[in-house]
Formats: sequence, structure tokens, C-alpha cells
Amino acid sequence: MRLLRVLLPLILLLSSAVALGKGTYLTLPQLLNDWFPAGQEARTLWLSTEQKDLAREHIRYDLRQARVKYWAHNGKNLWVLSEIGKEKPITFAVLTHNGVLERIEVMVFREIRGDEIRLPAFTAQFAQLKLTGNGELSGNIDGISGATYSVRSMEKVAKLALLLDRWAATPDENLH
Amino acid sequence: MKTSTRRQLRFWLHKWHRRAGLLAALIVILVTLTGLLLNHIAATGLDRLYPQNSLILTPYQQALSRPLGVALGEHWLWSRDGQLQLDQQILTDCRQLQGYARGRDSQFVDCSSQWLLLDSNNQLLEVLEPSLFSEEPVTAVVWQGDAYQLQIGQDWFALDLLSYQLTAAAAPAASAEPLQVLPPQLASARNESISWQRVLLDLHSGRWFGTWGVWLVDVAALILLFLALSGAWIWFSRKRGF
Repeated sequence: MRLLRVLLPLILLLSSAVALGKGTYLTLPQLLNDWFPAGQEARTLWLSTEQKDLAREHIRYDLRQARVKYWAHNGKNLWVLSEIGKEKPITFAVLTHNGVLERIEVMVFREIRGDEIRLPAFTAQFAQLKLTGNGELSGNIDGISGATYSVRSMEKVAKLALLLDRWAATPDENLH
Repeated sequence: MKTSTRRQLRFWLHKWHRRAGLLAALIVILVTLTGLLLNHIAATGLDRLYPQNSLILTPYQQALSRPLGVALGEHWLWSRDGQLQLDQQILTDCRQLQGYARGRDSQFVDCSSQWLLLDSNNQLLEVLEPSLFSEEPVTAVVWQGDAYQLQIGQDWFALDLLSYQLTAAAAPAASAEPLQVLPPQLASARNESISWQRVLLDLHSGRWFGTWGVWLVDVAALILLFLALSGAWIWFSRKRGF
């Protein structure tokens, strides 16, 4: 019995360290069906060197590619973006509409811990946020202890999606 | 069992318990240290670090080879330290080059965790997330019929870059661009395949020392078993007042 009292907490402690959060939570067809039930159009946003520089200065995001794919319908845009959490990329889906973030979801989570960011109670904090003039989100996001890197990745991707949304609406203009 | 016999046995066990402990000490220290490091392999990052010391790599000489790349005319496309390179020029991030195909006006680079589309001037056009298309890795890629065709498992799929969809396709007539060993002037024999995790695992199991090493660790494990049993016997026999 005494042995059990010693071993049980140890087993529980070890089992909590097992990576339970890894996995694919949403696929692209699922998202397109759920978020665009009336159909959508796959589009490409071409990025200029100036826009890449602006992303680096404004939201501290290093955009290296020349174009970004997104899906659009009735002014709503779906962005599928990946960002490194602590060690591995986390893939996010972000729905934006006229410069406002409507939804953000974790599609693929590959890290060992920090998957609490996919919980609705956390993602709900991002709804209706905008990108401010100084490149920050318009609302405060309460962090999650033990998921600092994942939270940071989600914030970073949210800012990028809002910036891309702005460029998609006015492809020839920059933020100046 | 008589009390005198038990005492004799306890004396004998006690003597051999100490001797066996000393005998196994070195192996136990090695196995413990390597075991501790292996338990925290993700936190230490040792699964992504590759030793370059020739002594540590002695048992792996057969497995070590020069990096692989794709010959593009006079140039070579290859990956090193998480970067995609054209000869010595760094192009962009790429965990490990695993496949390549040249399209009409673009190039497809399979970097395992990412697929990259480059234009004909080697500028990064687009980063594609493989998990959006398939859970399984791509085993080959070719350009045929105005589309990149990807082999996943035994099946072939055409990649539609507009709709981001894979559609089943017949096996292409063309074969995939082979990855070739880089010329020595471009990259020396650098260890990029044997990680510290592998070295620690082999040290832990004794494989690093060859066949004898495995037997040695086996013997140490049996000695540990003996220590556990003899220790328990000594402990309980004392408690029962033999």
C-alpha cells in the first residue's frame, strides 16, 4: 500500500509528460466546408519586396516567399499559415473579414506541449481583433502558463493574417 | 532452511553483493548517464545535433557519406544545417532535401516538413504545408503533363497548385530526379545522419562497442538483477532476525 502511494503520483507525473496534444485537428477540406459552405475561390496574393520589408518592420515577421495562397468568399479570407512554436511548426487557419479576425484554429500541432492554445476558450480571445497602427493586436491575449511559445506563435500568425488581409483588400497599397 | 545455513548464505550474498556492485559500477554509470540524457532528448535538442568528432563516429564509418543533392547543370542544390543551398549560396530554410522536380517555370523542392516552390531564378515563390495534402511523406516527385506528380506510398497524385488538391494519377513515364552524392570540393564528409541521440542509444545498449559491448551490458543488467535480489534478501533476512 505504501509502495502504491509512492508509485501512483510518480506514474501520474510521468504520464502527464507524454505528448498528448500532437495531431491534425482540421484538414483543409473540412475547413473549406465548414467556413465556406457556399463555396469559395482559391486566390494568390503576390508580395512585393516593399511589403516583405513592411512585414519585417511592422509586425517583425520575416516573409520570404513571393506569394501566399488563400481562399476567399464574400470578403472573408481564409489563411493557412505555419509558424514555429518552440521547436516545430504549428499550422493555423485564420479567417479574416475586412481587417477583422473572425476565427483562428489550430490545424496541425506538432509540439510536445502547449496544445491548450487550440481550446475554444483561448481562441475566442482572438475574435474581432484588428491590427493596430503600431503592428499589435487590438486586444489583450491572456497567456497560458506552459504554452508561452505556442501562444506567441498564434499571436504572430494572427498579426500576419490581418496584414495579409489588408493587402488582399488593397493589393496595390502598403500600410504607409 | 536452517538458521546457520541462512547466515552463511547472507554472508556469501553480502560479500558478492559488494563485489558485483563494484564490477557493474562502470557500466551502470554509463547506462544511467546515457539513459538520463535519452529521457530528456527533446529538451536537450540532442536528437537534432550531429557529432563531428572522428572518435565518437568510429563505429559509423560505413553509414557516413557525403551529403546528397541535385545536379542543376554546373550547380548543385542541396541542404545543410536546415538551409537550402545552391552551391554555397543559401536560398531559404529547408530541413532536409528529399526530392526535386523542375517544372515549366518553377521548381518543386521536397524539404520533408515543407514543400518549396522556387521560380527558375531560384527565388522562393511559395511554401506549401505537406500536411494539408497528405499525412504520409512523399517518396518521389516528377513533372509531367503540366503538373507536379507526387508519389505517396505506392500511389501517384497530381498536385493542383490552384485548388491545393491532390488527384489520383497514373504512374508517370518520367522517373524522379535522383539525389546524388555531392562532389568533394563542395561538401566534405560531414555527419548529418548520426545524431547524438543515436550515439547515446548505442552507448546505452552497448552497441557502440560492438558485439562484445552488447554482451557486456547484458552481463551488467544481470548483475543489477542479482544486486536487487541479493539486496532484498539481505534486507529482509536481517529484519526477520536470521
